[in-house]
Amino acid sequence: MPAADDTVAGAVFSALADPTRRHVVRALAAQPRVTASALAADLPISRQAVAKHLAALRDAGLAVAEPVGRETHYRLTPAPLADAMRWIATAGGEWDERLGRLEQRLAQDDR
Amino acid sequence: MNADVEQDDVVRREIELDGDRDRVWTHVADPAELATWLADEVVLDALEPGAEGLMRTGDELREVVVDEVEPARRLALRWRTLPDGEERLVELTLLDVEPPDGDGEVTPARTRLVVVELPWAAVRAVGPAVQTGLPSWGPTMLAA
Repeated sequence: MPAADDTVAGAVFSALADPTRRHVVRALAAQPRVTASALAADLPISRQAVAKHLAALRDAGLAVAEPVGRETHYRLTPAPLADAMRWIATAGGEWDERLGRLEQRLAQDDR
Repeated sequence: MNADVEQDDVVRREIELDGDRDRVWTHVADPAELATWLADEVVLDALEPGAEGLMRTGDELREVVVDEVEPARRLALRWRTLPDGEERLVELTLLDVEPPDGDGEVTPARTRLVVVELPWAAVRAVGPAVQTGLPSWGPTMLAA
């Protein structure tokens, strides 16, 4: 797989490696757009913590912030997740090939 | 998005192979053997914790570090595609395949090889138990 793809997947995985951040992602996914305060009300963490996680998700390209009047609304942008899924598919396919070769190698032993 | 996000970054494969664990291990524990199935070329001085090396598959080059070696049971290594790939943990676990219950026939030994690959960042997130090598975080936990 091209290195660029790997880098995107890496950023997404890093962002999702934090369990609290995954909660934020799920809360974001549950509604079309939401403010940090509303998210904090739904989660057992402070508004500041929510803001920090939202910033990390924005950095990974998983969320965007949109000003609406005096509020900032956040929206999930799952496109990079597709990149991550593509990494999974590629890595899985590579293992299928490797294990197929190992199986053949063991079969050769028998002869 | 769904509740399975935790599992989404883990690649898991398993295969049943002819032979007992010792026999399958001979194909895992030897860099020359690894070069017949894991990659096109494997340069690794030894298969022991801390050993570093390189693997090439086609035009893709990876640097490799051996993490843990438990003969005939488990090999854990970390690899990273050069120049700027993400570090990922690879764990190979060998398990006995239980023979079918007794009609008295001798069944040839078989081994289940379980492969788990995941970003090292995700391993760190699982917690300190992983880094200190405490009770195995392996397939039983990741793939249950």
